[in-house]
Amino acid sequence: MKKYEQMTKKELMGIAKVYGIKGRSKMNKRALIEAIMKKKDPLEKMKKFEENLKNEKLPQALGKNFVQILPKEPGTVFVHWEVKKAKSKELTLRIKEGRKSIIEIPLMSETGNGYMSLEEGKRVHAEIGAVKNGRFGKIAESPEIVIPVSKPSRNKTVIWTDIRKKSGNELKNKVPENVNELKEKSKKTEKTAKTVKYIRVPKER
Amino acid sequence: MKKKGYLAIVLHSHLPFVKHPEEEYFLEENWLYEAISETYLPLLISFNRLLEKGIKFRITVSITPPLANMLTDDLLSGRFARYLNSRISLAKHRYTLEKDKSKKSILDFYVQRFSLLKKEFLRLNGNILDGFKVLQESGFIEIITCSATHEILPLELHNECRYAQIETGVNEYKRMFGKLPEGIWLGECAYTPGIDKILADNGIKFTFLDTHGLLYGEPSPIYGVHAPVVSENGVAFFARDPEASKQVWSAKEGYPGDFNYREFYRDIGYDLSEEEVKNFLHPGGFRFDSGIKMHRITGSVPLDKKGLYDRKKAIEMAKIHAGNFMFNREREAEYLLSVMNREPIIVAPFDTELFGHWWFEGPDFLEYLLEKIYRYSDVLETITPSDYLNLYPVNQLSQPAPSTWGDGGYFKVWLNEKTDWIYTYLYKMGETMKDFAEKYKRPDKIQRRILNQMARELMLAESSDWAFLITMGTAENYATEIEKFHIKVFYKLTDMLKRGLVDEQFLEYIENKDSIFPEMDYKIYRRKK
Repeated sequence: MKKYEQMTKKELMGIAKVYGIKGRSKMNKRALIEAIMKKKDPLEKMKKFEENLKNEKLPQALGKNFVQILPKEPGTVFVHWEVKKAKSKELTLRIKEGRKSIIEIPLMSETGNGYMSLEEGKRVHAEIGAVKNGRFGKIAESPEIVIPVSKPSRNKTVIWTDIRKKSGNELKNKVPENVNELKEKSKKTEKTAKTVKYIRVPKER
Repeated sequence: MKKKGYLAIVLHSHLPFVKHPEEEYFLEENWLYEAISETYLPLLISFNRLLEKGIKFRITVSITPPLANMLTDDLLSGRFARYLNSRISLAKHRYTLEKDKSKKSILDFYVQRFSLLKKEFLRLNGNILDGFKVLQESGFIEIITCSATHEILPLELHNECRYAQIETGVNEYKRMFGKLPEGIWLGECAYTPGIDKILADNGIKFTFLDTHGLLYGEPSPIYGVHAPVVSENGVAFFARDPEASKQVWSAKEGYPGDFNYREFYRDIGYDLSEEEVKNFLHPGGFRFDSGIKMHRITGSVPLDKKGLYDRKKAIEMAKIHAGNFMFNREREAEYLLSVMNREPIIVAPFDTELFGHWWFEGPDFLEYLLEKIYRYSDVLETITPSDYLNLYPVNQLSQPAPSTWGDGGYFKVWLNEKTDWIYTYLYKMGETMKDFAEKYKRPDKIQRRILNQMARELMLAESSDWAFLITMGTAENYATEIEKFHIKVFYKLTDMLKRGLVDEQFLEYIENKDSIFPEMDYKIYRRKK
């Protein structure tokens, strides 16, 4: 309150403008202060909520075992996990293609993450287990993902399908003979202008 | 006469949900205000001008749920009106002060332009969305939807969360446009096999991918990107034609870099006196773009050496570029027709905000292009995917490959050492949301409000935008803060529910602030069979 009383009328008028106080040009100093206080109160309350949240820490454990695998680019995936295990056991991460285990890595900690190289095009999922006496006891399992590929498929089968009919009917259709003439399209992706969409605020020069 | 090929221009309109009632002026809200004044309103004006001239065209426009929610938000549209009014006053104010004749005429252009925008905004009663809706109903544009918050779906491993994103996108479309969407834009064109099933289950008939999404599909598509493929779940996939988009997209080789066009980075906001900044831009004295830019690109010279903008010349150039674009697409279509046994479709998708915001003359370019094609082209016709599928319902069966249209073509823009912490949280929050959706079968009124708000916070945290901005290093602090904000609010609400201690004031506040998806029902997260 005191803060405002020490301000000039012009300064108060500026604040009143910010808060969109109507009829401000006709107000005297006292009326201006009162109108500002009234407007300001809910804003201050809202700011307090924001302030409190800012000071809070992000929660840590989920309290549930899980392992996840995410595709990053051809040949690279991201794995993250959080599990609890018995003291006497060793943790192991398995990457599986269907039922076949293709990679096994001993893990040093109960929570963690990292990037791994895997062959592109494979359908894989991750499992975490505790190993005792060479036996793998599964603790958590991820859904299956497809690892991105960086080249066209060799499969050139042409089956035609009609979207008006729901499922898998094949249609005989003449396949053009000079398909190979179709231009090889550039694989490169252009930098988009969308970065620009956001870079306006606030830019120092 | 039957044409030789079809051009499908797709404008993807999206901004993340940014709303800050707790501050009277919030800088990042300007993303929306700039997009409305530089892109959405100018496009609507251009489209309507074509309509009045009797020019027929077809164009696809995706409007994402966060953008649609912001465009219909009372607080934000009121603030946009304030933004526009202050631009009008600023342009007038500078006009009266200016002595130089050529500068005066540029300022006069801005006074006229902003006034025209205001007129259009008032004609629409402040509802931009209605402008697009009317154009859809009169058969000129086809509006498609997007997942709820533009999530990178291949990085989402909870099937329920994937479904919730798509279902919400469909529900919101229905709420906004009064019918069901035929097509969807997947956030960042991010796709992996399996998503097609979710689209099919939600009645979606088609979507768009980047070039390699189709070309690396299984099996290889014989028509490349110039015809759609259909997955075993019956969803059609159209893909970006690299040649068509490059000319418009690329800042260096493309049209937007022409020396006659308006310079993006030189804005009078940075030349104003402190007093003027306080009066017209931000009462706190923060400097940023005003939207009034007096210079042209000129060449690769420093910002202070730029020449003055010549509107007439810039418009001439936009006409020339529209003609050139049409010519190139015509030759492309003729060639493709000679090697295909049907008319090709050339798909040219863009961020809508490219036109107007980044490339100031972009909406004029589009207007001239559509007019020229309609009046003069014997080769080309504009089309939407729905129309094309009606013409050619029989397409090759193929499962597209994992891909995005982002830098590199895959997922590294959103998943890397700077951003991977986000996905651990999203996974955990998704798990909690699924559990609660099962557990709370008959919640009381307040529990229901908390659960619905949790669902909103989860979806807002899933927005691809925050990871994108963190990776790009633009607005990184804000993006990090906002990502954490949604996570913290989610857990605060979880806590309220678990302990049965409800802070109603906080709940009310957050419902008013993160007010996206008014019809949200948390049961959307129940287990899928």
